[in-house]
Amino acid sequence: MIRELHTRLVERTLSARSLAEKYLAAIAQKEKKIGAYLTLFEKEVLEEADRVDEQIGRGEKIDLLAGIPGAIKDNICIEGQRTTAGSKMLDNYLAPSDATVIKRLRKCGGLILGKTNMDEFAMGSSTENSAYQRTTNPYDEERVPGGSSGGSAAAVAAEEAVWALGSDTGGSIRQPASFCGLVGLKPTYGRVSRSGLIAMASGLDQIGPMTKTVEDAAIVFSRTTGFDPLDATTAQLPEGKPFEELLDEKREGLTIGVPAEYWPESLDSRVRQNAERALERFQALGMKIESVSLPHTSLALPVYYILVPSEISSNLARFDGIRYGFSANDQKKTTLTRSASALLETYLDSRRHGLGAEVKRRIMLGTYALSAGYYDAYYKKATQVRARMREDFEKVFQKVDLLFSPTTPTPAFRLGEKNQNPLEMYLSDIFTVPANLAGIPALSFPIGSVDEGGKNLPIGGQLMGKWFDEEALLSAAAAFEKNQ
Amino acid sequence: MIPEETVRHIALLARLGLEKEEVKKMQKDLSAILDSFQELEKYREAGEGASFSGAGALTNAARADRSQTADENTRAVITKNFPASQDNFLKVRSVF
Repeated sequence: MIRELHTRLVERTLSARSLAEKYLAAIAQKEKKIGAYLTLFEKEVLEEADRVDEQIGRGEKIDLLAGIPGAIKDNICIEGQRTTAGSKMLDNYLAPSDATVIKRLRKCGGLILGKTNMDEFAMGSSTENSAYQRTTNPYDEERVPGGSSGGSAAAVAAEEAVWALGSDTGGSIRQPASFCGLVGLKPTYGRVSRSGLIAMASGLDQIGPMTKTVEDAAIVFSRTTGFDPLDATTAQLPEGKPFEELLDEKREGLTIGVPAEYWPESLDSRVRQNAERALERFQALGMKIESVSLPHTSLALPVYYILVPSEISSNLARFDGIRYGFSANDQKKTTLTRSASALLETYLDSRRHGLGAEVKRRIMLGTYALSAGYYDAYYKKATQVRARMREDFEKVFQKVDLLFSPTTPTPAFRLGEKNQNPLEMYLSDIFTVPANLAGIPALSFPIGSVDEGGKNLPIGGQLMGKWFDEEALLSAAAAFEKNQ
Repeated sequence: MIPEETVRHIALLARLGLEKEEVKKMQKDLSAILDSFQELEKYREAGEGASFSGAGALTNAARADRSQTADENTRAVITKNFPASQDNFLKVRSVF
């Protein structure tokens, strides 16, 4: 899609302004039902579009992404703009600088339509934890778009944006991509800078693209990667060809491993059917299929829900009502009748009113897991099991190039169906969290759909690959997509 | 079930002001989640050996210790975010 639009822009059969206007009109028409956006940049995006048209008019060469409108998850900072992370805590927060990914995408001329809705501080799998509004699945408005990057997923699926950025700590790009029929990529940890991403779990978070096609994902992805002195965890790798130029490489020799632990008895039979059919298609494309095992998989959820809340408890300590955000001391507000009389109360009251239930729950879990007397049994043990899980992947990747499984155990569930019990919501991430724990790249792509209540619900398949081998993921998925 | 006293203690450590009903619900939720971790406790063998915290091959990755001054625009945004201020200084409550 991006490449075709680019050609039309360069040939001047389409202007960047009219393209931006088309998407703004779609947003105006659909947002009441979809609710994907929290903030729109109507004025700015048209100014940016005009600049691209001027460049084209002067005969200058423009990047593939120039003039193409996208959406940004609201935990990624844009200078001078409201950045809420889906929380009331940051309702009035203006980011002091652009995230590195934003700087890079802007340099290519990518247009930004607005900031998208998300589960508060990226904690959730349905976007129902947003402190602001509900986002619905464009395929069925009674169902969730997934989370935490639900707004980004819904925007692209509803054609309110050509591309979007999400973030993924335990599946927050891949699961909504699966629920909304999109391609969603979680890069290798260290591949994309996290500078300017409001941190959830610094050892797992990654920013990635959400698009309709594999090529579009590759195009956006290529423009976000690379070492960044502002993020010490970014890898210094030799520069290669952009990923969109590597999609047609012959993939016949690839071996795809099928990990038994990701195909449990309890798997929804329609999901299983679609996933098995996908394997047959990979085979028909010349790839070898092999059964493998990742023995520590059953520990993934407990390890995740100890390590991530631990990091959360530290990363969210900064939201204390002192320098920014919701504050019990806010001199502009008159709604809080009781003002904090001492510093401690500033913290307690600002956080009590500014943070939602799931956020508080995870902060508490993490504080407990890290506290004296419990640190060894919980946090330390979890980091050791995490190392064992990483070894599982190292061993398996000596035999196979990729791993394939369903992205989620079910298609999109109904609004309100899983948000009464936190444990039930956590289970929807069962296939996605291991990739974040190990740091490996993982991609969700559409493999079929199921009919439920007269609606067609998308099903996603997940490919996991070796560290820094996004090329294999993207080209295998591209081959699959091309030969539907 | 985690004792209520522990929940209140953890809440104070986390600087979270919880209402009485919130403490009770938190007690229930946390206990249920921690119970689900029993499989982890049973797994003795996996708990030996090296640990992994995400950063991989990195060691002591720090930038040069040089002070930097923010430009006018950045400073304006930062000070605009202050909940309470006086003469461009951030105003906070006293410790006591």
